[in-house]
Amino acid sequence: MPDTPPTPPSETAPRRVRSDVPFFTVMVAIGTSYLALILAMLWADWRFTSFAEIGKALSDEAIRFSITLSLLTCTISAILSVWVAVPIGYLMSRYRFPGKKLIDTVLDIPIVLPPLVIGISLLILFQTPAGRWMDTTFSDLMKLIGADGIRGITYEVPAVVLAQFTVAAAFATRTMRVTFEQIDPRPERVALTLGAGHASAFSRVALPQAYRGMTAAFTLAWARSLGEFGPILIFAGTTRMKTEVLSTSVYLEFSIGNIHGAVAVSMLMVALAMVVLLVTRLLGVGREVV
Amino acid sequence: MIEVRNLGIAVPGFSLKGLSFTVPDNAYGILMGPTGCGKTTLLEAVCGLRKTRQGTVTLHGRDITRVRPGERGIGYVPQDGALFPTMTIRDQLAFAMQLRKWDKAKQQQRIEELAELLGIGHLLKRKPRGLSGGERQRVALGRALAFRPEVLCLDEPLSALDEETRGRMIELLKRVQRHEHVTALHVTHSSSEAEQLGTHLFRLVNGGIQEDTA
Amino acid sequence: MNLLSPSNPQDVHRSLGLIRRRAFGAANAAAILAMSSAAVLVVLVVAVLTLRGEAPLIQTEDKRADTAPLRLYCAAGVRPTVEKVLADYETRYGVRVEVHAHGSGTLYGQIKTEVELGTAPDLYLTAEDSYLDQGRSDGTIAEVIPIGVQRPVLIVAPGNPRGISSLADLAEPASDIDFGIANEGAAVGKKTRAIARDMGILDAIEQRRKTEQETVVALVDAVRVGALDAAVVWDTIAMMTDGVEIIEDPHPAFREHVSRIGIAVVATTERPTEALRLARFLSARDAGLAMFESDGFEVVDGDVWEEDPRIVLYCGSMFRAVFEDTIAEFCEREGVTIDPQWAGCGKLVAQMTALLESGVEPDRFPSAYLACDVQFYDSIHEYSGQRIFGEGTIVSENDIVIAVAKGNPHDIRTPEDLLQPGVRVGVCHPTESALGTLTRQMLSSERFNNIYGRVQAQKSVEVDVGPTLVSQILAGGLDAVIVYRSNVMSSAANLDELEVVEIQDGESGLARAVQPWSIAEMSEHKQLMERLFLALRSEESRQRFESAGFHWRASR
Repeated sequence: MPDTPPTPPSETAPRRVRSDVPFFTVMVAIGTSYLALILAMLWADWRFTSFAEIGKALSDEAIRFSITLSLLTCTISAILSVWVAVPIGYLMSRYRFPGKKLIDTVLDIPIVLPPLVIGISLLILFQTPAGRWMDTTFSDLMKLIGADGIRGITYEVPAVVLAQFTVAAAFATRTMRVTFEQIDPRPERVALTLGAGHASAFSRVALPQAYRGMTAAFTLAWARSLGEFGPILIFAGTTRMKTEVLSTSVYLEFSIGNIHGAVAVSMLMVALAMVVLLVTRLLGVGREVV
Repeated sequence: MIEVRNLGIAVPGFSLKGLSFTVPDNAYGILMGPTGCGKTTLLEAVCGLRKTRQGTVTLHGRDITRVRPGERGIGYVPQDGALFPTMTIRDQLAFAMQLRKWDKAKQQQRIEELAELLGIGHLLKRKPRGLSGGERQRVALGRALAFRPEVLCLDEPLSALDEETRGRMIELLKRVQRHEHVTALHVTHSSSEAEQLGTHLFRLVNGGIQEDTA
Repeated sequence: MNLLSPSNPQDVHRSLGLIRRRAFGAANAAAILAMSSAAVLVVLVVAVLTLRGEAPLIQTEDKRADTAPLRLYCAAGVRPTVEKVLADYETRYGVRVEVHAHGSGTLYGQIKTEVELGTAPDLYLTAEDSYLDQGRSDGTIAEVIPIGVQRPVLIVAPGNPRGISSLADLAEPASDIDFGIANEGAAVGKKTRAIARDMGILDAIEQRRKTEQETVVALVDAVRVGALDAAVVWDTIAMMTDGVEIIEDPHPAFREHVSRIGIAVVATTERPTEALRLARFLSARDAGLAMFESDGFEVVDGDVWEEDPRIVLYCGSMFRAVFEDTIAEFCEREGVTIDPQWAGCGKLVAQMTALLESGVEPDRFPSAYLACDVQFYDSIHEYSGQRIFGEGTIVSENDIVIAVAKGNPHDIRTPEDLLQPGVRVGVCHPTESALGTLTRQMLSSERFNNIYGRVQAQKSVEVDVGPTLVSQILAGGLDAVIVYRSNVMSSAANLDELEVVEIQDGESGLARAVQPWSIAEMSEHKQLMERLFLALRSEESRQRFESAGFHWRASR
């Protein structure tokens, strides 16, 4: 026991507990060091940019486009991720069935795979006959509704969403599974005896309790999507004013040696991410949920 | 009348089979046994929450062995209540009635009736968070009774209560059974509960059921 | 969970609580959630769709505007310039181009993979010539048009605090200058080492360098933030970056080891004509190259921009059967118009001389000349002290033979046999056609006993070009004609009725025409002509030449 004094204890002497100061000092020191690292990075970024630089970046039509596209695609991907995550999370937490372990492992693949591999896999998938068919069908569909700006999936905006969704959904699924695992299944069983089917038990009893989890899953999926880079690079390309999102903007600016531009866009991302995370948390719950 | 004949239940770890007992109409059956003997499992099987391997469960002559839990017409009061965390007490009481599409006035009337019977009128607008153990049990009881079931299954409803509350609950349960004309099956390990409430007493020991004819 | 209770003091939470209670309380939460999120989703998707409409296409009558945009993979460092050119192109022609930028090598690898997958772009703009050569040899790349060059330069911190004046300074054993170079995987790394090797300081540089980086960008940044005192990078990137200074190393090796920037058409493109049109625009001296030049690139001598250029080409008539299809295919692919003038070379040279004397406009003068024999090229490649054509490249050779009727009824074995009485002989005009000129030279030589005068006396007819003689002998009007082997073999059916008698010239070359290709100095479409020359040297073209009896001399 660490807090037992090394001197032979006397049975009768009042026990003296060691000071709590070292404990809290160590805890706070370790915690602070990480916080300091994050803040130091932001500070270093700030040294390389200025409001003028950020203003310049914002005045660039291509950057504005990439901000808007990022916001839209991230939100779409996050909503889709939650849609997928809720049923999977619920089924995985509530039922036992053969091959569950295998399915569990499969669901983790997008998390463990290098992002580039996801991109390559998506790219190859959409070159198979079925993939090509989907591509052209989607393209025709877009034409039908008058959105002939989107010509298919690969190298188009749908590819951005798909690339983001593929990874984000895996994280959302994880979150939802943990959420449902932490929700007591007994009220749902009671609901069954009261005359509910599984659908109403899920929708009236389980789902309302998962509200925080869904907020967490949405936030996580949104954040993952914003940071998504590798798969987008490969599967959606980095076409200015078309499939360029913020993460690829940063990379492109950096790769042409425009470090000021890259940092300016990075700072925009930091600001954007903080605003969205804060708003989501306010909307969701007051407390930390992730 | 609850009639269980030769029931076998698959439970991981141990097996229950050949279980038979009968609780006559308007009787108060008590199922006793040591912790971990499968009392709760048996009760869940009666409610339809557990698959059975063999045997039959009959309510008033109707074989409900393969009937879905919601169609059995059993009011179920689980341990600790297992209230719906996100619903107000009023909504919980109304839950079964809403599913049965009772009209609003009838629902309202029933809620008021139950609130008075169980003394939970002051709780209707609240949510389960912060309720005392006795309050929880009363709400759970109200929720189970709302749709006027003929059978009530209670799983250790008094075990988490202090001595005084328990006494009051026992009185309440007696009153409820009279008022609602239900046949009850009550699982407990307390012999004092059995003495005060039970008209019929069953013991689950060594995987079999013995009826105490005391 | 307390926030779910209505007693929360904050308004936001209260109203949200209300919504939530409605959503989760009485009604079906799943349905409400699914429907409301679906509604949000629809709004977002509509927003994405309308977002696309921000940059409307300039509608032209050209139907190309309705098709998908062209896709260009572009070396990252060149992208800013390229995008300006593309904006211009879109404004002018309503053709949209999507640019995906990255390092040249990475892009090349990507294209190779995507060629397999069928998703490769239409065009590839690289800053490193090695990939163009690789791409051409492995079939990834079809056409290549050069744009400019990049040179490796030495960069230092602004004001050159270490007083560096040459790469040699860095190699000094006593120097403590921290410098970096790119690794061998990067083209600039290769060039840097080649320069150092030429300067004799390669070992010193390898030993003394502080770091080796994968990209030029990393090196530039390292110098800019002061992590390195000096580095060797591309001049174009150095010029586009603030915060570094370029040091001109006077050593000639720095001018020698340069890298070509070029635009290539990817072999798998389904729209080669559009891709090539864009490539021509990017590499045109009054379009793309002007932009490159103003951005500090050293550019090549590009073509003049014309959307659908019309080009005059002079070709000896002997090539008509073997070159006409190649030209037609080339025009089809490039989307250009070429007017070949098929005529005897004497006539063509006379025409060119006349044009030059009258002070011809460049677009009237042939952009290139495929001569029947090298002596015609020699006679026109300079005119009154001016170079008219560039270096000639030998494409093919053609034997001069005697064609006779099947079975050789007059038993003609040598030119002298033509002098037998009663043999009706056909030859070409000695000045108007190459064949006639070569016939005269051959028969006037000692080797053939100077029988030209006697053949002239014997001849029944003298015409402009060889094919006419073949027609005449086929018609039975002549017994023997002196023509090119290719004239006889231009149609397989000819060999059913005719027989070829070889003229034994004993390696003197007298009975042989040598055909060079050359591009006019005044041509405004030299790059286009280089590509036509490439088509002329292609495998298909070679087969056409060889099956027509030509000897192939060009290398691919």
